[in-house]
Amino acid sequence: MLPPERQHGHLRYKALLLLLLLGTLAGAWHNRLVAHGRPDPVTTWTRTALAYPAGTLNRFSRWCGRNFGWILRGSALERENRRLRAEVERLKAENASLQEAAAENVQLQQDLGFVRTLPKPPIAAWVIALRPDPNFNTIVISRGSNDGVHVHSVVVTRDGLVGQVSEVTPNTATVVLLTDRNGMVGARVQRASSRAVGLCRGNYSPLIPLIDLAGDADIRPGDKIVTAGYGVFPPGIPIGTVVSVQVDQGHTSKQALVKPAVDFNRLEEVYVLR
Amino acid sequence: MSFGKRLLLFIVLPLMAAILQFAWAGRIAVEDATPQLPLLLTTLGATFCTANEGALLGFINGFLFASLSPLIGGGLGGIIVGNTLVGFGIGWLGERVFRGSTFLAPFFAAAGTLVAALIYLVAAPPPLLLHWLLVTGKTTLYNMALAILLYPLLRRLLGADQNTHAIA
Repeated sequence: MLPPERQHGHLRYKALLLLLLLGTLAGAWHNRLVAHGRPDPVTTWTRTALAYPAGTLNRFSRWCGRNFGWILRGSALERENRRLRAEVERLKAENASLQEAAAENVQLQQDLGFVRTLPKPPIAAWVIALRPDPNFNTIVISRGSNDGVHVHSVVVTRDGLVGQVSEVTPNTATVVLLTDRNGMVGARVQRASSRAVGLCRGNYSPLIPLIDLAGDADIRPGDKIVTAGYGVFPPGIPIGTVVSVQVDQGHTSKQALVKPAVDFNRLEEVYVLR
Repeated sequence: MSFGKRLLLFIVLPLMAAILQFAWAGRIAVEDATPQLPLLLTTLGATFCTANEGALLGFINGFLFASLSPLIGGGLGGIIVGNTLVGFGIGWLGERVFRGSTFLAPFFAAAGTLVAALIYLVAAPPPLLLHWLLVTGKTTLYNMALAILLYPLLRRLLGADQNTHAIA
């Protein structure tokens, strides 16, 4: 290659122009495919290829955190950790004896609690990427179209609703979390005397706004909020707890802030509803 | 450094940055601030590159990061073009104006992150501008902090004889 000062202008910028053209064309092609509901094979392939090492690294770091995390967390936490581990061991032993007493599958379903209420068994998946792009509140999970996951599949944990699948590759799926602007769900107050209905729509903050509530909606702090059952979301999945309620000036509508039932910063395993 | 070794680094380093971004970005968040490792690699790596090499490094990093991004509302082209221009710009500055240093690394990281974010803003305007500003600010600060740690490593990997076997 020639030193910079000896290059002619048009040669100098040829590589840059070529790369910019390639990038623009790739973007246009991607948008065109997505607009027609088709996945972009190049990004799909790249994400699938990166998911394996990323998933392995994630599992390895979790293992390191469990075994060596005390170095960073300090001795007090280590003592607490030891006590909890002993408790876990005791519970494990108890659990093992319980499992022997009952049919294995039925018992596992009882352990998971909510699974029993579902019409079909859900698909268990690991979280392999938590918010890989800071601009979006999304996760990437270790199951894809090969496992029966599809766009708009509903994702939950045993604590409650996580979000909805927005993109699938054969072995991974991207889930838009409830806290993302693009995540929204019809919601209902879980109180027999209320049953007020609204729309939970994320705005990237830790508390989810519950909007479109009627002005006379009976809703108060402490109320449990569950899915209303509109669209693809089955009814009754916990969303969170109301922490505050605001009434607009004309008293025509209300808005509430909901603390999610799920800790989105600590997601490790999720279930995709079929 | 031989041409082959340098080319290999131009493939391996972006792949490593993308895998780390995929696996760890959300896990190492501080007060909801997450780094953007591929972009950080572009900004710091380009200080050891010619302008065209910087553009190539930015293109590869941009493509890999865009592949990981959910890209709701488009933006793949914006991410690739943004990274490419940032890589080229920093490489160009490095050739003509000044070489990078540990002292300058955080400023390169900040400038690169902001320019790429602005290009992305134009290519795929976000629905909430305030959130975009907040995320960009936090990512910039995180990238600046990481730049101090990563710069010496990259200088060791890419810095030696950087122009004798340039790729582009």
